Amino acid sequence: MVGIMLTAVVLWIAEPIPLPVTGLLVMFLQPLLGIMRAGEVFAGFGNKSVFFLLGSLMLAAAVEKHGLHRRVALRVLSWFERSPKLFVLGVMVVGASLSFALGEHAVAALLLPILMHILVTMKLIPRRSNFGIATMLSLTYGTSIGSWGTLLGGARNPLTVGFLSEVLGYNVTFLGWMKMSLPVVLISLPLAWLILVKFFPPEIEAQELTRAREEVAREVRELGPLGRPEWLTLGVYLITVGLWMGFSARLGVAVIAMIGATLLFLLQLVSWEDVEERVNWGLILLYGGAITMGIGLERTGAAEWIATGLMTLSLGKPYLALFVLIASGFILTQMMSNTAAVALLLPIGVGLALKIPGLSPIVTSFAIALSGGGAFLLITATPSAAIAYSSGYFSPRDLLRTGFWAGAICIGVIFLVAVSYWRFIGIW
Amino acid sequence: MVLEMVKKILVTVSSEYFSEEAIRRAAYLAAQFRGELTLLYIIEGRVLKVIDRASEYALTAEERGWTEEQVTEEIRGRAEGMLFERAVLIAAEEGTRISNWEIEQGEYAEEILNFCKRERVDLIVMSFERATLLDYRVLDWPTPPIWVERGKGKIRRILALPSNLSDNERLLQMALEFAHKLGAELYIEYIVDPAARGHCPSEIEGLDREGQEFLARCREEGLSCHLSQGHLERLASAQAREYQADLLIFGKLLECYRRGLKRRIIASSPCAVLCSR
Repeated sequence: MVGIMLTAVVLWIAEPIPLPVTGLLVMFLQPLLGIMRAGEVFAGFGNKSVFFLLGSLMLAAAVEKHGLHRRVALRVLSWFERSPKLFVLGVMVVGASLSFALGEHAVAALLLPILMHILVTMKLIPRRSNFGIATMLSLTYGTSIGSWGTLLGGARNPLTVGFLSEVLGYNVTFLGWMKMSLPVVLISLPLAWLILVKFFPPEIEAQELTRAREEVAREVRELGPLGRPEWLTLGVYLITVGLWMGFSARLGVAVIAMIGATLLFLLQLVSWEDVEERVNWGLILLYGGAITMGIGLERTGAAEWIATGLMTLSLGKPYLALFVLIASGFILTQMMSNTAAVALLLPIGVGLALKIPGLSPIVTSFAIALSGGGAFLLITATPSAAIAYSSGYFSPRDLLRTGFWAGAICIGVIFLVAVSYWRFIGIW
Repeated sequence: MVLEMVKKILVTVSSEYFSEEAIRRAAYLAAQFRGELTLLYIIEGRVLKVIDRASEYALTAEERGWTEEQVTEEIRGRAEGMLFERAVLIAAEEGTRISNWEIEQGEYAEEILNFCKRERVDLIVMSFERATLLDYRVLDWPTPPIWVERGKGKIRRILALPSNLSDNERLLQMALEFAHKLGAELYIEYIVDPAARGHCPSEIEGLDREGQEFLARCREEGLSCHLSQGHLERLASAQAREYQADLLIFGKLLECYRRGLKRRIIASSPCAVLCSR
């Protein structure tokens, strides 16, 4: 199993084949090498989190199709136009809040043209304007940090929930996830903003934002009032989120996601073609490979074996072990897909927690899930960074410089929240 | 004898790295040579490929397509609506105008080469920034002379660096032309690089004689040429600092030494570099 894991690590980093194909490889190698029975392996793929992921991707497809996310983005952005620094914070808030509801990559793809248009209207020269650099960097940091907030932010969140349910029989509700993660988001977001405006203090004056204000107002006007399909989509979305908040303990997040997705079809708000255009099935395969590998590492004892090795590194101290896991999550996610990074670390984190007295496997899993979303350093580390980089407003060096500090601070925030607040709410 | 050899100047700017310095220098050179200035703006294909690759598992092919389309449209709009306006202003400040501008989408080096195949170009002016995805292999290709701007001010001192790794036939002529037009002092340092020995003997055979001929030509022009021995890559930046040069001029590197050598020399150069044909 360790061999399969190492193969997956190499393939996920070097990407000689698409990531989802590596996911498939991880699945079929286990029965092929006699590590686990085929039935057991594929049962992991049928985990309820897969269906939650599917349902949430369909909901996201409807929101995207009807442009609801664009309306929200422009509306929220218009609240932050008083000063350039506030505008940068606004971009982070918009990116983060939309990433509570949609995948961070989709949010970055939506916001990029809007922001580029604003910067061009303001005649800001690429790479010369601190305001341009800070705005574009805030797009990638905002969406990444925001993706920690709910189960909808990225596939690694349902992956963690699915893993905990399969391996430890611990069920995480929609609200339970938010209760755990929101403080981390709410603390990290302003700190990352402070880093950005410290490194790149906007050179423009507040009155120069007039053009941005006018541009946002024009775009809002162009969108016009909400039509019937938009209202209905919003209604279905809010009902689904309401059900997740109130009934996910009883019904499970997957069942509610399926209800929401089916409602969209019944009300003819999306067609199957819309879903096919917007749902990446490769993500499901990647997820499947990731979760079956996690379960395989756990059940074969490979995770425990690795954890024993890591014990010496952490000197058997729970806080040090937790810190090492969080830092490892940050480092790994710079090199490979964040879902893959989380999949690799989850079983090791659980194995380590079960060996070290005073360390909870739930805490290590949550901490790994959050740190796995911290791809702040490289333009190739996460799609949102690549998308923001294509604007030409910042250099890879700018991202590396601010990302190092933002990453270091976020590691600290996750660690401190984990050892204090999570203990307080009884996760530890 | 000084020839008027620079009439058509092409300045290349990538959507990944907008360099005002390159435009300013190209405009300055166009004014000095009374040449025609063309701006080629390249929507960098490599950056779009990075989006595609990084988002492969997260976004569908359609979504990636829409994103790329929107990004391209915004970049094009930015170039047409803002950057060309800025370039025109810079050119006017330097006392010239941009005769023509084009936008192409593709890979930086390839688009430059394609342009040079289509149009006559006497000099390419570009910038150099290591922290990009840009591929500078155009430096290794047989193109017109390339001026790589490193963002320094006026050209007062030019250092020509002929060597036994390069074909120096047109170097002297070009160095004289630029020194004359820019009103700069010209220094010449012939580098004898030990790397020449044994690497591609068939091509370096007779280089000593060529070196002697080069020295003789310098004497004919009334120029003094010093001799140095060492690695061209290391000596170039050291000599540029010693001479406080604002511009380094190289001969056309022989093919077997071309791969990456110019890029390394440019990366470590403290001043602008002109790679002659």
